[in-house]
Amino acid sequence: MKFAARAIFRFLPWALAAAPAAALDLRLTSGDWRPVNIFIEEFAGEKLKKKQQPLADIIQKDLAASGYFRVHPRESGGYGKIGAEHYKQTRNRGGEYLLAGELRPENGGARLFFELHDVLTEKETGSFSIHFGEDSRRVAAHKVSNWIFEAVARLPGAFHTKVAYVVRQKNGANYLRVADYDGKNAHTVLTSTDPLISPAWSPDGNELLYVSFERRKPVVYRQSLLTGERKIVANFPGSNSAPAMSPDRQNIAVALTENKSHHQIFIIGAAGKQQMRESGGVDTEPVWSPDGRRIAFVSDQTGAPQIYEQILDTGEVRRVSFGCKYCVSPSYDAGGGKILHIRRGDGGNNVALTDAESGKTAVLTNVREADSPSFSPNDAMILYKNENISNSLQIVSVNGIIKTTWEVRESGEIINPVWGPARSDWF
Amino acid sequence: MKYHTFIAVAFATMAAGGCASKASFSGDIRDEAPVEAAPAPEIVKAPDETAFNELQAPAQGASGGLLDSRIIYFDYDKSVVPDDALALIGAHSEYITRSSGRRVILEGHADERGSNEYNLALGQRRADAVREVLLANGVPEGQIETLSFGEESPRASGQNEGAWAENRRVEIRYHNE
Repeated sequence: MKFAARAIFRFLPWALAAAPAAALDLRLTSGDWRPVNIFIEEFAGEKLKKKQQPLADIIQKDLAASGYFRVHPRESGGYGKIGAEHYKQTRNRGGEYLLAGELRPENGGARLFFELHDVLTEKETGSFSIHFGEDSRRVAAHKVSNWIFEAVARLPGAFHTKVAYVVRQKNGANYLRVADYDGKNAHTVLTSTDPLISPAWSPDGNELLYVSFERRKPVVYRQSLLTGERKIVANFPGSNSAPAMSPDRQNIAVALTENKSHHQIFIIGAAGKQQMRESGGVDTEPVWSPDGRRIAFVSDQTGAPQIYEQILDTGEVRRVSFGCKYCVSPSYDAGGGKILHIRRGDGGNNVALTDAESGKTAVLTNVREADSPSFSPNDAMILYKNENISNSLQIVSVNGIIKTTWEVRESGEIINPVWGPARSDWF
Repeated sequence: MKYHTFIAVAFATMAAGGCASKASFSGDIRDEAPVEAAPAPEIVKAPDETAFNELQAPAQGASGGLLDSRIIYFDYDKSVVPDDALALIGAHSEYITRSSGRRVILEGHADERGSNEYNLALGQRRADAVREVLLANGVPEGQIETLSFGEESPRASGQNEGAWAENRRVEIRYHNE
């Protein structure tokens, strides 16, 4: 296991001190990393309605976006009869895994039977079936993707997850939207004629926090996704923005001016509001570490915006970003050791990942203007915005190699996309 | 008075196909949306806080032509008031001090590059920088209000320096006129 863990990170431009808790069962070629080659057959017996995407196609795109797999589509025909000939054929074409499946009608919907084979050892890795109705076929496909990812990578899959973002139309209308991670199944949560920014999920996925300008100034709200009920979190004199809920959901960090200073970070809880620290510059964009004991944030106390981290118990502050003219929008990985952010380089603003302890940094994108990066709940993928393709969702694998564009086809500009937390019962 | 009306609609309502606003989304791929119980849409009306929308230019001729200029432009990532804006701010300072009780709102803005949140702070800092000049010119503190819209209220659209330069600004507005 340790060996495999090292292998995953070989392709990062820097070595990581700590191995992740779980790791991909990677096969090594000349000591180098490469993705797992998986052949995915079309599923037999699938009857598609107009505009429906084949289930196998959804699964193929999921696994490819993760960066852990190289996906090879294949015609159907193997389900239930995979044998020596299939193994040999797949192996000869570079395959390591083979997925085959078949759909059978059941209770007004269908049941997908599928089996995953390890073609190198010539053994079935596992087989399973899942029933779904017409309205949940995409969910079923994403669940199968999760199952395969878990079986091979031994990490939780993040294909059945949600993202939130704002769509701003040219006429000024703003729509707060929640969609599947691939941009499908989108719903409007809030409509406003004034700007909405900075959506942030509650850790349980039941609520969104955001900043609305409906009172002609920035005010922080929270809104239930179950009932639609919304409440004001911060409407103090001056500017109220950058909400982030603590992992235990007891506190919300915000940036306030209180009409008397630059933006400073405050923590709002049952006991009222408390300033995190006093700084000579702007402090904003607070985010909680997964254990709730640290807050990473942006401060321009030295002139240009940089990422810092404060240990809440002791008040100790340390700088995280160095050699950077402009570093903003931090967020932690699930382990809390790495901080994702936007870093300005010669080519523009790009997504970067820094090891909080060593300060080592990898830049993961190469676009002119990246914005709003956030991790998938399993840390394998990163969602961000590319200002030049403003009506799509961009995904980059955490190794910076695999870049996926989900065509969302929203009728406006997507602002501040943010990946939601893991939960098993997403709607 | 203009009322800002906001319609907070639970996403589940959309899933059930019950909301008219879905029509505005061409990319709404809803054919496979699971149907949820549909809570009633909530209509939220923001309170009518100030006479903000009725702000107008100060009376013409009060102090001369410079008062017609309302916008101070800033360099990229900077919140230093440029020297060539001092005369404009000076004219407004004189106008405000001579019109006792007249309240001014300084509205800071940023271009679209960088994070929305940092740009909100940058716009605030620009508004604060203009405020400092007004204070230095003798304008009473109580007559100045500052506000930032960050990158959310651009004057020019487009991803080029021309548009960006036009958007890095502080706008001077007046209450109740």
